[in-house]
Amino acid sequence: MASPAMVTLISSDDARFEVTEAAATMSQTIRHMIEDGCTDGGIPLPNVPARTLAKVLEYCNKHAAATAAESSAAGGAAAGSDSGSSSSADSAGKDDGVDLASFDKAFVEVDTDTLYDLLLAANYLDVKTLLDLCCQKVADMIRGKTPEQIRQTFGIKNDFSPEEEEKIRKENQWAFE
Amino acid sequence: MMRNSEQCLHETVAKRRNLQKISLSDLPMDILSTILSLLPINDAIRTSVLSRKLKYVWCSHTILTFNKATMRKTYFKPSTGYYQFLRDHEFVTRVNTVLRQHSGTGVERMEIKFRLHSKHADHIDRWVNFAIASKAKEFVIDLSGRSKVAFFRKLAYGKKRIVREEPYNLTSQFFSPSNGLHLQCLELMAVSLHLPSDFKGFLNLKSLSLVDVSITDEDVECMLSKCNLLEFFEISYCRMVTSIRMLHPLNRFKHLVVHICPKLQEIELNCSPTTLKYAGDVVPLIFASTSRLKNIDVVILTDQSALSYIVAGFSSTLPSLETLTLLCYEPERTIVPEGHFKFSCLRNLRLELIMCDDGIRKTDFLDYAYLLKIAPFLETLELHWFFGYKDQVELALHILRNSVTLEKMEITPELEISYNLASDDCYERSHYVDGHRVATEFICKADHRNVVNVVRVPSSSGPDETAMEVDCRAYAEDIPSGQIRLV
Repeated sequence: MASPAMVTLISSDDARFEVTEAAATMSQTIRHMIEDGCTDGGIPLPNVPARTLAKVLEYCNKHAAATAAESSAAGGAAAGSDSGSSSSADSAGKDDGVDLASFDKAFVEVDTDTLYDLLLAANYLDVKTLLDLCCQKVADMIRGKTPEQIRQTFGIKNDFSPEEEEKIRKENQWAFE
Repeated sequence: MMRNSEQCLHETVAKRRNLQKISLSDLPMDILSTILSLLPINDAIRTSVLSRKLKYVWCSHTILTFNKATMRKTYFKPSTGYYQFLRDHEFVTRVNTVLRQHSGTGVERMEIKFRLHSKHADHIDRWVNFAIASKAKEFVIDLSGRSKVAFFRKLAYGKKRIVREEPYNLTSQFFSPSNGLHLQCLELMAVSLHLPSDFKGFLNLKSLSLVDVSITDEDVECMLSKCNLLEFFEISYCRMVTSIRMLHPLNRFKHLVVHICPKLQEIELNCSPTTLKYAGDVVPLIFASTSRLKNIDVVILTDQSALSYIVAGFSSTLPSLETLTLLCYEPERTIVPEGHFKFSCLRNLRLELIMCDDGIRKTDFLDYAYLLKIAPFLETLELHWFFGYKDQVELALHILRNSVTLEKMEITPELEISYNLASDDCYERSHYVDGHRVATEFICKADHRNVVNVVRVPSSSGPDETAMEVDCRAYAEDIPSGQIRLV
């Protein structure tokens, strides 16, 4: 098998990351840059610091590898369906799914600052599944909490006067009961 | 949208350099809006008091779900000790308030599930118009206030009608030609529907579901002939419908679900579906072609032999059939029809055969050995309602010994009370015939390829009322020896 195509990414603080093209192109932004031929000397990502980029790439590497494994398993199953290898490929694929889900879950077990960084980076790099994952995590952290608890969790400063806040609560009284 | 978030990002990054710490409210608007849309509307609304920046973010919520869960207040009142139910007018007022504040754009899905009827028409009309104006892609309106299972029980077991108020009649504005463009998924439940004469169809509609809808045969036909991209169609518990016809060809059509329409007499569709799910009486099923049918799931509520249904139920052959699920009430033995039926693709078969008997059973499970002839490549077989009858055991053993391709045989046993024994004593364990025990003793032992899986029956099916209901008079005569009975 030929060695996979590699690309170099440069973070806002000039750290260089070499990754497979498959992992890098999980970012639509990078995919477009590669398609436009802007890869010489590395792809600059002025909005993403090294710390965040490393984390994003950890995600992309994992998912790109899982996708590759899945498609090769599917190819293998199609080729070897007569020899009865399909069931083993099936179970391997299933294990990957479970594995990936637990990877995702653990991946967003981070402090809120890191989570914001990931959200901003996923948004800028346009990695849809990562953006969805982070949004879901924030939503889960909001769910079922009182406004005061939400403010505490996310460090939100209440800039309403007590009268203003009372007025807003009144408008949708039932949702606060 | 992208530009917007990029600008925000630059601002955020700049801000960060000064402040070092950002908060949730500093995230770009579109991200915040995405996050809040993942929350139920009531949780999203609560974020309006967090800060000025967050006050209106919820107003562009994209998935508006209005039901008992999202519109409730605290439903347990400790002061009275009673559960407080959400009343009609409370629900209506809340939905109205939310929609008044909503931006009215970018709605992906709007869902209204609450027990309402024609008396609330003014309000519901307004909600429907909101869905149209906001270009909602998916619209669900379920005014039954109950689950589908409840319908099944009532209709399948005798009760003809669920008493209720006059149903809400869907406003004709909903069908006006300018509105159909955005709608991709439409689910209607417990409403009445009359298509206006100028109905031009929903040109992007992919999925349509009509459950307990008052609709005529003509309107069903009109709906099916004017939604060209339709892929999924469900029609269930529609009491007026006598025929389901689609004469205009629908090339993309894939999935048909028909569940207990009591007056239904025929189904004629000019299309070639891949899956069919049907429950009801035996009716003629006519498709343009059955060559793409891969998955069939049929529940026949009247007496019908499953075997004869398999070979004669469809007007043409089923060359692609991979998975077949059948639930039939078997009245008597089947005379196996002659012919060269072959399901060369059939891999998965799930059989729920309920043998009817009045005193002495006139059926024989061994007749189903014929399956091996017509479906020689069976890989998985599920046998339900396994009571451990002698002929059931024999059938399982026969298939086990003779099928070359079988990879999995799943047996779901039932625990059954024997009629003769039930009357004289109270329900002691020894009076039950345990399908599980029979399956493990007689079938698993003959399983040299390790393909048999006997499902553990949940303990609830022990000696209780449900076991009592099952009639098993034939068993006492049929029982081959004392071995099978539990000691």
